[in-house]
Amino acid sequence: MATMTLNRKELCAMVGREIDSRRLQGDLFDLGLETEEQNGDDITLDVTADRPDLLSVEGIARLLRYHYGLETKVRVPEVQKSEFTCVVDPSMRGIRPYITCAIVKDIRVTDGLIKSLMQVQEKLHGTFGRNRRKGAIGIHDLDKLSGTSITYRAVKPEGDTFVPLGKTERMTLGGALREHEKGRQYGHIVDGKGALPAIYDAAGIFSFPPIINSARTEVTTSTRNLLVELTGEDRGTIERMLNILLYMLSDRGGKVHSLRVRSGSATEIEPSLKTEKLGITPEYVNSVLGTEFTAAQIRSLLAKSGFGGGQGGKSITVTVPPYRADVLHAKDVVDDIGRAYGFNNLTPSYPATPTIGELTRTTKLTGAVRDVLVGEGFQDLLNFMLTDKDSNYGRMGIGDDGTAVEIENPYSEQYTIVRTWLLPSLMQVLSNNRTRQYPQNLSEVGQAMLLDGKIDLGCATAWKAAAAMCGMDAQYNTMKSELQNLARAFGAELETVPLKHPSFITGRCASVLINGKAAGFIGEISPKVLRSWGIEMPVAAFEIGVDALAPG
Amino acid sequence: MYALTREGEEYLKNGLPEVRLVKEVLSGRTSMKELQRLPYFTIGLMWAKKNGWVTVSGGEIRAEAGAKSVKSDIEAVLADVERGREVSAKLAEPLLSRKLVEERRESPIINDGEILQLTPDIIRSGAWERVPFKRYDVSLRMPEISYGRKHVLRMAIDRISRVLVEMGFKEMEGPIADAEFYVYDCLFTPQDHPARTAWDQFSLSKPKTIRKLPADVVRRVKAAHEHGGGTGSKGWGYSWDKDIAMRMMLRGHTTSVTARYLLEHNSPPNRYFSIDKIFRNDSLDKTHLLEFYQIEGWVMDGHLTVRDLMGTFGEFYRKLGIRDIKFKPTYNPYTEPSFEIYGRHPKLGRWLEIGNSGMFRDEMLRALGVKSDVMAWGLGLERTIMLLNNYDDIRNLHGTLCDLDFLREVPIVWEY
Repeated sequence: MATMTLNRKELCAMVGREIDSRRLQGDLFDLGLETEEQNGDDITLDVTADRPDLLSVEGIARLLRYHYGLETKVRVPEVQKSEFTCVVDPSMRGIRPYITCAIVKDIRVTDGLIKSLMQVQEKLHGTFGRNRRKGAIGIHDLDKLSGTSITYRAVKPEGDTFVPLGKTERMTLGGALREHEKGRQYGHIVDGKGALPAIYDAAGIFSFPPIINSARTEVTTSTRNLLVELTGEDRGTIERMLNILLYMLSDRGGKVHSLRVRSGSATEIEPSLKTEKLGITPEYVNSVLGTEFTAAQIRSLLAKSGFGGGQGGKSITVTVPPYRADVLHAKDVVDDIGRAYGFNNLTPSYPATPTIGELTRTTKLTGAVRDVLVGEGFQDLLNFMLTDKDSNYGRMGIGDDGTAVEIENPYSEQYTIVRTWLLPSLMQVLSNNRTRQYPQNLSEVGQAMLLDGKIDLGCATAWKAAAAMCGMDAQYNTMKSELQNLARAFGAELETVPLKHPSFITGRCASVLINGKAAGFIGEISPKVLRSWGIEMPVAAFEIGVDALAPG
Repeated sequence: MYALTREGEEYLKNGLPEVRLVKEVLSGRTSMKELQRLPYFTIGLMWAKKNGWVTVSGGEIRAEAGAKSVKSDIEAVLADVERGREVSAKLAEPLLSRKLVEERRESPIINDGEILQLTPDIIRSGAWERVPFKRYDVSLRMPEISYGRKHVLRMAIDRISRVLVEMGFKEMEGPIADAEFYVYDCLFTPQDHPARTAWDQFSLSKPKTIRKLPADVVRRVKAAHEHGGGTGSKGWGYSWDKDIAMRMMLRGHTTSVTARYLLEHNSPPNRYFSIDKIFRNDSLDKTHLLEFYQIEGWVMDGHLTVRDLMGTFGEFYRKLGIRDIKFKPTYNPYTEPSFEIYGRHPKLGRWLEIGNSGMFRDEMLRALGVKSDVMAWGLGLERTIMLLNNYDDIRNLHGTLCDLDFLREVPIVWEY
């Protein structure tokens, strides 16, 4: 999801119809564009990742022209041949393999167009281009190039020099990586491969993709002819990005011209601006949407979506224009038919799918344990599973036993592992709530996670029940009564045998056996542990595995 | 202060033994032999003699001259003690020595002629028939006491689970830490999708990878990603990497559990749901959590349409009290058509985004061995509950950073 900003008046001028902002907001919503913000006539829209063609005001205007029936046919810009050639040097293979380009002539470069181009480049780079790795755009003033041949080739970082856009002194590509803001931001994409990508004309380097253009070929409001070049790691991506740009420029009156792109012995004429075709039947469309559209209705809805719909017996041949990067499957076309009709105009139905509802055993069991603990007067908690080693081990007075699931890229030092037991979470809540009324009797029935080499996943969750009493009267005997009541509620045999555990006071700590099996422990928390949490009230607590209460 | 002993209560009710004995003698019953049958005879005779009210000679008891007007101060003192009146130590002394009253240490039960607190003793003695109850100021506000209660978010989970079970959904459960294969690849999400970056997901260093994946599913998923896998789709057109799929992470949605269930329950009809934890490497503040609950549900049948999706999920929201619903077409890698669901706040009237839904793509379903239609939806639990109830800090609603006062004071959730 990306946002794009447009001006309503500029949009209306391009659509060729006045649309008030209320109507516009509603129509765009039904077409899948949510208004994020509106500031006078400046409107910010959320554009979903499948529609990079809508990241410009030109793209949105095109969408609406088709939707309002002001345009009804698939339009492919006419491509005229130019005398320009682009040569791809074999040295680029391991560095940034793909380039495509086009020339756009006779365009009026206004401030509005420059603004729109800057926005679309930034947004396409950030989304479809995967932060310039898969694809990056360079747009140049064609008339400022020397000669009619450009070469895409690898250059030593400290070799040839150029003046990057926004600078006045010449620098090497390596220098631009170090000194130019964009170099520091995107340098990692191409750095460390021994050589860097550059595009040359007869006068030297004029583009350092995917980092920065040269100052020499800068586009200004006096520019009339453009060279658009795209480079990247994925050929399909840069071709689709180019198509989107060419539609934008063509919508602004630019005339598209091709180049010969020579790579080794192969020469291709680019851009190709090819439409794609796929077949759908009315039955299929209606089976997805739950409608009863005729072929004619479907063709008119296709036209409203900017698709072509040719007749071919029972099936409809859909023409997909080159700027639509998102159509993988016939269902993607059906989605557009639904948007064109307006999904909110469909009547909801309730499917007669015969099923019977049920909760899992886990939910039933943990819910029953929680009910008993709440009945005993404990405030039920719902804590984070993420924690850190100091909370899980150190502050509890125990060592790292190496059983915790660990996060590779933690959000912060407080959340680096998944908890292996619940008691530290309860201690944390007590520690955070020292100014709140005592007694604080807390419980949680929740999950912990432990590494487990015996299973494919390498780790497993365990449901546990933990309870803590904190206050002047918190002591072992009371806690034992609570635990006895819990065991009795499940008809389970309870035994507590003396245990030495560093989290608890020796002589006031026991291992909990339920139906003869070790299930957890109970005791008074050691003052050392209380101090480490900053708690100055006695705490008695227990923690047991929930399964022990009701073996499956 | 003093309190009546059991004996004192008895004498207050029936009279002192010596007084009763004298009354018997005065009524003409003077034979020792006969009077000895009275239960209070021994003690009554002792005190009557001591007081000089009677003499004994030749098996007969005789009343003395002043006996006709015998009256005991003790009875008056007993009555005062019962009513909680102040009694001097001098007056109390003979009663104390006879163990008819005792010193009371705890707060008075009866004071100044009124019962303060009803006790088993008072119920038994019948004092409640003679002594009025002190009237309370029943309008007074009492101290707040915090008893245990179920966590407010858990209540919401329980209520919403019930709604879904009522609608015929079975609950599912599955691993919280899972391979990217189930979290993303099975959901036709390309391996370079922006969600699959360190900025969004929590990858694990321990355990780093899953040990094995089912070979046939891997083959089909790979084909779907690379060229559509025979579904009529173009696929994503890249080279799918099994090593990436095997990396372990904390699930970013419960759709990983849906993927696992679809593999096992691939013939219709099915309705499944879960309300379970998911993890996002986002930020932790008033409106964001690193871990939160996702409500997820799906319906499988031989043939389902977009209208069925709208009807089913609309019904769910109606049960939560949200009646006005609209659908905004959106994009998810694994659903088409896809919709964001907007609902009008039942009290505030504002439109809110309350869910995401869609029909699972063929590329996903066929790879999981499903030949039917499946529609699914999901929503964030905390966000929805915050919006519906106007809570202002999500950290109180879920997690270890909660304020106990919030949990103790927040109104419970019961309406769903």
